[in-house]
Amino acid sequence: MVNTVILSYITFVYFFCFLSYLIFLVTGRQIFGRAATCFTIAGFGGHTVGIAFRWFESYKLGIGHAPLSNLYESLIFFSWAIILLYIIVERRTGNKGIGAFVTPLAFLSLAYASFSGDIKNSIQPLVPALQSNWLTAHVITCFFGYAAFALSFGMSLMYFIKMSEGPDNTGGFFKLIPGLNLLEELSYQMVVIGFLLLTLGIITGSVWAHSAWGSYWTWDPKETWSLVTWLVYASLLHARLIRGWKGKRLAAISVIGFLCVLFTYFGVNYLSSLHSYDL
Amino acid sequence: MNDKKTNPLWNILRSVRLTLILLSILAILSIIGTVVQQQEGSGIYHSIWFRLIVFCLSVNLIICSIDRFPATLKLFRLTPSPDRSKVFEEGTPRAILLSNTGLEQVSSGIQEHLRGRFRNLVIKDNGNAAFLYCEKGRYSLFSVYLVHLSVLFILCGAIIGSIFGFSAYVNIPEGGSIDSVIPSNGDAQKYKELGFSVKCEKFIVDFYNNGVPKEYRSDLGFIVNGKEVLKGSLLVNHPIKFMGVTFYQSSYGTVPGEKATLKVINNDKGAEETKIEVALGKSVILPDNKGELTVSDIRDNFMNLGPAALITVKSSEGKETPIWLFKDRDNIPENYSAMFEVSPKFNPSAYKPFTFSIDDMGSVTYTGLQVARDPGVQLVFTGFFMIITGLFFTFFTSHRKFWIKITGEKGNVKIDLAGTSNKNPAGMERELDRLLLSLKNIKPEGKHNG
Repeated sequence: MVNTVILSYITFVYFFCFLSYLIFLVTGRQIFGRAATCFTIAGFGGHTVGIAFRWFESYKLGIGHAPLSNLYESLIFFSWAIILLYIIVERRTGNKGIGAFVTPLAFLSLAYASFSGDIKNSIQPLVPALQSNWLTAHVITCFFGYAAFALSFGMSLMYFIKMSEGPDNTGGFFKLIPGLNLLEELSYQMVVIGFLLLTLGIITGSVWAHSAWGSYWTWDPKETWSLVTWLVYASLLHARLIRGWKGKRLAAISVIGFLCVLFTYFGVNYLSSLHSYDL
Repeated sequence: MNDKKTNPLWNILRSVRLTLILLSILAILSIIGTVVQQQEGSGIYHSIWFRLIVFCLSVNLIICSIDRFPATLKLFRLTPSPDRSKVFEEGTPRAILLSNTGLEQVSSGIQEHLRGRFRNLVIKDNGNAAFLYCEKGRYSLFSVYLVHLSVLFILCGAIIGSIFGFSAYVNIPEGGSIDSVIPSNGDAQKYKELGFSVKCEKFIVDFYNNGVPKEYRSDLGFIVNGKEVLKGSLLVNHPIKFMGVTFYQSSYGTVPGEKATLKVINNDKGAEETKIEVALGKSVILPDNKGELTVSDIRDNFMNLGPAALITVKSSEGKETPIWLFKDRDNIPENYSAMFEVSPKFNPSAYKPFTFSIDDMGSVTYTGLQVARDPGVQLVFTGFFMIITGLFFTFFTSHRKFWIKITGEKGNVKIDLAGTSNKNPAGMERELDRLLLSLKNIKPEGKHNG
């Protein structure tokens, strides 16, 4: 299918984005930064076309639905959401250094989708339980939430690196990591956006479960892990806003939170769950 | 109030440190639950420990809110005086100088501009200088309480649902009906009368080309006192509510019918084969009048070996031989076959000279329904709505206060602008810049002269 071919090429584009951002960060030469931004925007455009093609092809097969229904499609959407959010952050802050820590996440997600032998990339018809408008709302909110947490994770890693390089920031390997305050502020903003979207994601899932299975909460492992993730980020927000936590401790919670996101997304497949992806 | 401040229990319960500890414990317990769940069902989430932590968290949340609310209310009611000087010293200085204009003209132009855009405009004019105060987003002070209240709504809804609601799973064969269910959260033997009966008139399933179900639906009839009150098609994702009970299309399957077609081989006559159809509980005479066969029982899954039928063969002398026949005899593993040879009850050749087997048992489709009543669900969904609204206002609005000082001498007027915000200082700086720009563009002269 055309869409899977397009999307597998985009994987390489994102790898080049990562390389360019990294070289930019190490050498500090603007030309690489500009190239990286161009690659990213071009990659995002191609990525969007790939998703649109997949959507279109599903209609040609007579089983038309938004491409948000299995593990392959969710990985594609996840990396798309990461890149979109990243482009917005880069535009708003004018800082390209973060790209070196965010584009690899989008690259890995796409690479896993495109090149892992375990993942079916064919377009599947929707089983009756998935035939609901809640599917779209649920998947979009969850994955934009995950993407925001992914960005916060990347920024937190940068925070640790910056800390270890010392305050003067002259002899470090990475010359152009943004300042600690900017990283912390941005990371916090990403957590806020992610938290709101995760809350919406859990709620849309809950309302959907109520109409599909007759219960809004069943302590299914996926539900439970999404609650755990929610609790971790709720702790982060309270720690920062009320207890005034800062810096390293907050960055550490953000890393833990993202590990919970990853477990909610992938790990739960190893536990029996109604949400298990049909690989 | 003084008592409260010194009471150590109160001090613990109002602390956000306790909140962080409880949230962590809750997260860890939940994680343990997902691992243990494999073996024991969702036990941990209904355990007394889990509930105790949730209870402590609720108490913590309520007390934190009670503790902080008076201060918030005070802040909400307070209108700062317009002629503060400190704010102008603390923030980034922002000022505009205008020439050939008067203080009063500028002041009235600015007032005009601020009205409608901001709230609570307060003006103080002492002749030499005009002081203006205005603000926006005062109600956002309460948004965090809305979030916390919503958590309580959700928990209350969950409690009400678990006490006054029920949830059950039931299979109805096509053409059959039920009038009671066994709730899954209660005693396994305790039936719950619905007060009406539900009949599955028809069950239809439609498949995609690859064999995956595309749509399935049960045509249900709801019968009260022998009269059909409501008819409806039940589909996945489209529940039907009747007399406070909601029905959800959950699954489907087949069970053996009420009859069996048996293959009878007469070993005396060179394996002569006869097929006979017998309904459950009915009898037939065997070939050559060599006894009478009755189908005594039909099970959809006997001894975990699949569908089976119990036949009882009565010889002319009146001796009865019961035999269990398995429909999938050929697929039964080796280690069971030995048992069939030994036990006459499972030996299809136990009644001489015949060997019996099942040719077909027919099948009836059943529809699997989830049946539930949850009086707490409205409260939970209200909580959902509140938490989203609350979070939105908590994170994306803030209480922003603005002070404007207008001083003038000899036709030259100076406008100073300053402001504070309880959240998002970067956003406040941007808003102050925008406000400064819009103040620059006010042309009070034009208005008065033209």
